[in-house]
Amino acid sequence: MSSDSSSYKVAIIGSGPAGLSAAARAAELGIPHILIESAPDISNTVNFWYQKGKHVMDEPANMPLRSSTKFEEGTREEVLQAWKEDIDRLKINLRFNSALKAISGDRGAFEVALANGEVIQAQSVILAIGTMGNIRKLGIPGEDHPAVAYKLDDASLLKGQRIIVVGAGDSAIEDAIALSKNNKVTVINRREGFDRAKSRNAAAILRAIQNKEIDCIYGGVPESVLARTGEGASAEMIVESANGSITVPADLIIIRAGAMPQRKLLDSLGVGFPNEAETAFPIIGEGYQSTRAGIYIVGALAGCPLIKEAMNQGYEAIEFIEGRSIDPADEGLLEEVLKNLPDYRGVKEALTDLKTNVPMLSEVTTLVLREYVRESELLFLKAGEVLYKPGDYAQGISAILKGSLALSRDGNASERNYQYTVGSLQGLTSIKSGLPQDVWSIALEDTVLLETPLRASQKLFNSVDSIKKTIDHIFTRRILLRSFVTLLPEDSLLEDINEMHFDALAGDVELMSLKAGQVVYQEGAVTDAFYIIRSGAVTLSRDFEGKTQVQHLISTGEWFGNDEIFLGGNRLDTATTTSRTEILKLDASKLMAVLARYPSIQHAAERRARNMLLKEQQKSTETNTSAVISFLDETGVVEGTNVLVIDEALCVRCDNCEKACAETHGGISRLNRKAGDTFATIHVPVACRHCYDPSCMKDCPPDAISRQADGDISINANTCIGCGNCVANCPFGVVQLVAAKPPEPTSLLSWLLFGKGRPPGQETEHLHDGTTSKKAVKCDLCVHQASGPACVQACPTGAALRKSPDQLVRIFEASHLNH
Amino acid sequence: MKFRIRHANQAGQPEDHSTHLVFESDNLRIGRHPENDIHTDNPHAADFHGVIQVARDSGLATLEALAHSGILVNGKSRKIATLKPQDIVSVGHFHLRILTPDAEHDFEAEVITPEEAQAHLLTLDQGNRLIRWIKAKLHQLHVRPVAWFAVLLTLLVLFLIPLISVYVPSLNHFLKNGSPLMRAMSATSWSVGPVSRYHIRIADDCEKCHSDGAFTNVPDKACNACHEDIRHHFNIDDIKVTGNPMPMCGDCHQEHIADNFLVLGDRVEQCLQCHADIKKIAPQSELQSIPADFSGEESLLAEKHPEFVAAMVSNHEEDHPIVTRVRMDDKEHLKEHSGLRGFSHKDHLNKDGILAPDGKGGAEIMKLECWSCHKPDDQRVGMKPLTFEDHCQRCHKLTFDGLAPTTELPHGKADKIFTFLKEFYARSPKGSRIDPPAPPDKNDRELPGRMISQGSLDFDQPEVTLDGYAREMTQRVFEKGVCSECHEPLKPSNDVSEWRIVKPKFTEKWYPAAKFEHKAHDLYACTGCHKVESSETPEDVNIPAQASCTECHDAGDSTCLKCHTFHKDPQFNMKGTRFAPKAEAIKPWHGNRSGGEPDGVITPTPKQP
Amino acid sequence: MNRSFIRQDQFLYLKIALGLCCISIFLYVVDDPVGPPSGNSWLGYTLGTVGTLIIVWLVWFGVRKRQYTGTRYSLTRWLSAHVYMGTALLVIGTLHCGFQFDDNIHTMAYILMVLTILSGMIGVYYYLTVPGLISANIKNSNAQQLHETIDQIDRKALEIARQIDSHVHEMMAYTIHTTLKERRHPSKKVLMDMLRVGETIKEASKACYCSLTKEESIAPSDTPVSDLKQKDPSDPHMRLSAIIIDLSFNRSPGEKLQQLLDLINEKATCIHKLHLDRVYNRRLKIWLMFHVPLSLATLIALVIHIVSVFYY
Repeated sequence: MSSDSSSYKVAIIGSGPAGLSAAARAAELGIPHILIESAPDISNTVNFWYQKGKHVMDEPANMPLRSSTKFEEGTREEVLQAWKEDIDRLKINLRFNSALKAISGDRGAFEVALANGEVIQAQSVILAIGTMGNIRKLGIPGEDHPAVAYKLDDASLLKGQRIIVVGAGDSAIEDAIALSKNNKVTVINRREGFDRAKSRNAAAILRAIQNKEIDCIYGGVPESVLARTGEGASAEMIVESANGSITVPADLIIIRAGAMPQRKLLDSLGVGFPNEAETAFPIIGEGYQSTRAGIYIVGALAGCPLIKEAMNQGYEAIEFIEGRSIDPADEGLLEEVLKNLPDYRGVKEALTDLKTNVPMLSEVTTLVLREYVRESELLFLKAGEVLYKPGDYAQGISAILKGSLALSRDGNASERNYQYTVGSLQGLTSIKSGLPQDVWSIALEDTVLLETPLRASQKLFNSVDSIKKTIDHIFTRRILLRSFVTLLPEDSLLEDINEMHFDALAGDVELMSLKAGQVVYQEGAVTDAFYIIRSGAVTLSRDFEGKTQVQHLISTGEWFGNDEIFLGGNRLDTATTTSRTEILKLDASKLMAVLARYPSIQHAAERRARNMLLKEQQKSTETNTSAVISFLDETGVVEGTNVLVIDEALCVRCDNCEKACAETHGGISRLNRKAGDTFATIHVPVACRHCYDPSCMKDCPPDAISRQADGDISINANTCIGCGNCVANCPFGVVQLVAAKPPEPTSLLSWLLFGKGRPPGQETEHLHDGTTSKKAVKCDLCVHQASGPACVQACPTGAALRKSPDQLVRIFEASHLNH
Repeated sequence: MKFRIRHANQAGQPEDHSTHLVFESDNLRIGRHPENDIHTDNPHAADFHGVIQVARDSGLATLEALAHSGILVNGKSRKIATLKPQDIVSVGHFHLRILTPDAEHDFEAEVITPEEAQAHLLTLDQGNRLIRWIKAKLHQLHVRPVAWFAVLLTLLVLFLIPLISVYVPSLNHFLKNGSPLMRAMSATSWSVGPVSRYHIRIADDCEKCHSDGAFTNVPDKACNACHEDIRHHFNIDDIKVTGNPMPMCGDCHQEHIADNFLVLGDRVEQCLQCHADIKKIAPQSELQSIPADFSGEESLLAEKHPEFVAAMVSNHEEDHPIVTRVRMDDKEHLKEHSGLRGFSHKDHLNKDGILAPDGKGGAEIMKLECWSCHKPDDQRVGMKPLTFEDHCQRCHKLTFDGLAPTTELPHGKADKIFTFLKEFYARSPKGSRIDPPAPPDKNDRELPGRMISQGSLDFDQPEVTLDGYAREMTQRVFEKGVCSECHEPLKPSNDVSEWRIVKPKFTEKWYPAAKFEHKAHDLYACTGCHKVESSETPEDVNIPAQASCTECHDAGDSTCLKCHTFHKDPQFNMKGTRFAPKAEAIKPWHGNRSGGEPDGVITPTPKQP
Repeated sequence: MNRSFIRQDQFLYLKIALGLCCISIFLYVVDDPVGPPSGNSWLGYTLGTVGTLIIVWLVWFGVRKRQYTGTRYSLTRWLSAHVYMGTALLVIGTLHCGFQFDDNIHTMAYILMVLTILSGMIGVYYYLTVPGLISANIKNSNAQQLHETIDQIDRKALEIARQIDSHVHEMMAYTIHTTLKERRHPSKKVLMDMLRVGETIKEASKACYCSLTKEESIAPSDTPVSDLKQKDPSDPHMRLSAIIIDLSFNRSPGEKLQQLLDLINEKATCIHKLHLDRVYNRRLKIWLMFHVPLSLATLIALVIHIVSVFYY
């Protein structure tokens, strides 16, 4: 298509479901439009990131589709085919290979600049660029050669080929190493080293290059890709290097030059964000309009990861641009959620009530609120019914719409320790800290709650700054209250304690975001504050004759640095973070002021501090504990909530743990006993630790990873798309991407007697044919088994333990390790 | 020489000639040095590692190692090797496979991957596949084959071999004479315990007892084959069993328990199984039922054990003795009618002594003790039988005529008395007789024999005939003295020559099924058990009853078998019962027991005079 | 050790087993059977039945160990109970037979049972001692890492050897190649060779050090060089050490040689560790080669024993 200076009514950026739907609606209405796509094909995400043959779902099933294009549940190919037919049918003005560079001008007269220098005039712009990012292309001639690819589906499918991998990042290295086993791989690295990659990856590829398993052209700049005629490879790449121009033949060229960051682009477009968080979504007002008037945001970028919803948004955006007010497509859904409310009058009224009753929601925009409510459901509790009990992990937050709840330590509502009324939020502390509940929450009267799942809640927290602040405040207050509760003798009640007394204290916190290994305070420093860990962990260590010995491990939700306040005097320990840690710092004098109201707590705290000091003096003679804690710290055990540890003094290396895991998990063991770190006889095998702050969960496009009520982090196999983000993000390497043959049923007896059939516990083969999509799998704590994790259950000698880090410290402390 | 070296192609990939090296040279050098023809940068290769030459005439390729360590041909280190197609030449991780050269080239080889080389090398030593397989299995520590081996070996040793040796005696014999392990494989190895010493001589011959074959119980007929004349424990015809099988030998006799153990019945409970309610099993039995709670240490024999029942000879008048069972506490019937009269233990055992008639021993007064008459038999089990001649005659002389004080009637020959007297008086003619002197007896004690001469009838009277006097005397002897003093006359008619006396029949075995030995009771005084001091008549039964035994014997240390004995009753001889064996079935191993009189049988045969 | 199967549930299963033994012994002492004590009394039958049940249950462990789903009690508990009940069987079995031994299958079955229990005891001993030995041998590492270390040493050694002398390099390459395959499962021979090389090299390095520092000179005749050459001239390891020692005396040894010696030494240490690791790991499994077949043989013998006893 030639460079045209004609003006369009609407320019749609991104041909994903949302963009396509918008363009289709525009085409249908005969509105002058242009659909701009940076890739050479439509719908980058579906096209590139989805595996071949992947089944595309049309969730939420009850939501009506409102679009001019078809969309039905089916394979990736069917969906794409339907869209392509619609593009032809509706004559959508579509332009490929056109990346957005900038937008200037104002509503009614935007100038959309493309990467290739073209400028397009448009009155409105719809941004439907998704969240997966723009794949960085090389921009060299011949880039569209069929041998050029931007991702690797399954390295094991390729054999005996000559492959070029362009790039020096982690993904490039991983691809290259995976391919080098069966293929001749050449890596083209623009730089002279692999310093951008993780150290493990860098070491691996340097070793491979040294062993001549992989060729590497350092300082190589790809010049062009040429089709190759005749025998041999189908293409060749001309690479400019220090030694001149080199021609490298290739059957496949994989370009792993990374993806363009979204945020930067969006910031440059002047789209407003509620906060600086990487994961934050742009602020979207009525009619999908962003903070920059005339620029509309729809689809995944609008925080809507589902295809059908995105398509609806695209459709609706065009309607809004056309000036038509349209009932949101989710009206029916909202009604479904809210209709059981007492004195329900209509969706709009109910939402207004919600805003007035729940202070947290008062400042939320209607669009966000609608989505929030849509994801939620009403929960009706009769008087005396239990919302949660100690040990439960919160699944989300619940706002009290009617009635009240009592918090009780012993499950008896009448002896309540604290009471929550309309507007309060439940489950907040658990969600924020990743800790289980430690009290009972019981309905005092007939109570109605709006229960919202974790993801929707977090989206809300991240999208509205004020909410985030409020939530943090409430969280701090509650965690303070909770910490004080631990000081109280078991039998005393909290009746007299008023949460609001902690309000001032909580309002005056300083949030410290620290990296691993940072010192919070030094031994001997002046005691002026105490700390509560919001996420991460801290070790308290002490200097003994020049040797640093770790005394304590403080994990999420606990407080530290308070003992010195009660004892008086300077710091006795040095506090160091073990991992990325968020700490709330509170002023010591304010704490004492609050405590002055509660002399019994104060006494208890002082007594505890004195006892602690005594115990510590005994402990200082035992270097073992210190070493153990250091080890657990270094290996990241402390980041977990439930860690598999093997006591090698007992482990007879029978691998029954792995077999049990494989047998109970579709033939794939989710733990590797041999791998992992060892200290003395403590071995931490490679297995999921169910971190407080799970890295795997951070970047999961379908939001398939979540913390369950039992505390385990689990991957939903139905929604997992096999993107591998969790595999890459997990610092402990516990997530695997597998497509495995379903294990054959086996008769134990026939195997025992004759060796026939599959040995019990044998891992099944991975499928290499690519017909089944890969899924991320990892330890699920065997929640389906009443008797607990199969690995621990199947350990004959009691060597395998699955415990929380502090339990582990206690266990190994008790066993007086000798080494 | 034209050499061609190909780089291996992956299967299915088009051949790429650019990767082929073709050069002409005298030889082909392999090494790490750049001057080599095949230059490998493999660090494992020497600078000049080897050289390949091809003979012009034969076309044979020869490899010579330049490196000291040699060069690997098919996995083995060689200094010089002739190369055939498909040989693998290895230098570190660098592998060359020799190919058959085409017409254009003299030598051709391809570079292959270590995996291919490994796979190829494996195919080369196919020959040792089995050994390799076994080695691999052993290396992997596979338990299953070993377990199978152990299981099958166990089956063989503990089941099959013993089973075969049951049927193959020569094998059994061989095994029996071997080591303990071999003996454990013999037919007897299934034996559940040691064979008792009574059967030790047939212990190796399982079939002797298990005559119905292996895995069967021992039938009674197998026992009877040897023990054919053993008496039954009971009268087989008395047993009325409904529903239960007939009691078998094995019910009381158990083998394979211990070498000195055979009778299971030495156990109150065992006997009680039948004897607790004996009438149920044998309605006609005269045996008393034993209280069912007669067991354990708590029950005392004195309280629970029924009173003894004596087997008393009751018909002294008949030729064949009839044994009557009388409970020892049945005082009314407990009278021994032996046919003897006038005997008193009390008188004989007078503490002051009794008058000795002949004054022998220098004293007129003689003190009798029990042992004066009752002498133990040789086994010191019972007592020797008393005889008139040995025990009575000294005092009780059978003199009948005061004029002939030394002449005695013959004892035990009642039928001859009349003839004897007739002859006696025939030899002493009338008038030749003189009055006897007055007796010296101060006590006026009548001694036998003296009275007879003082009768109203005098032989010297003329009207008295010899025959008549003899008859008279015979009558007197039978009725008034001498004989009748101790015996009952038997008068079938008025003809005295036909008169006899009732032969006394004593009960020899009071408790025929009891094991009693005087030997074991030596320490105790006779009168402790036999209360004879007050016994005045020969009808008194002075055999001790239960109380006497239970004074010392308690249930705790006395089992049934301590006192009771079995298989002694001649009535219940197995011959003729349904258990009688077929004679030819099994020959008894000992001949000495067959035939002959069994010992300890109650045969109160009349005493031969 | 607090969580070991030996101490499981505060010795609960030891207590149960002891209780069972005590009851059995008490009954055995109290019981006054017909004839001598044997399996042929009510106590004998009782003990026999209990023993049989225990044996079947013990053998079932092999199945239970492989049942990974739907299990109620942890395998640790099972093993603990297995160990103690198996030991108790020694008492129960002996009392069952009433110390009657003979050359028959019953005693054979008993002997098999005792052997099984003894092999089990060896297993327990190994299970309690060997894991610690493995950890102590390969400190804070694992076999995989050791292999990697050796790979690295090999690479470095080859590089250094190449810089020293082409002969040394050849021999080094050859020894590496010959040990490469066997290293995964170091055979005794290769290992012994490596250890000998290590010892020789240690001597050589001493000498090397001396000649480097010129502190003291050791005549080549004092070294085992000639010895080595004669001993096994075809053994590449021996030849390598011979060449190295030769070099260290006859030419200027230099820093490189010392480095090479250090590397070979280090490799020998690693291989020794690997060997020990293999020995220990085999020890953990090898006893099962006896225990499992013996236990199955015991089961078969038990069946034969029961059948024969009940048939007669």
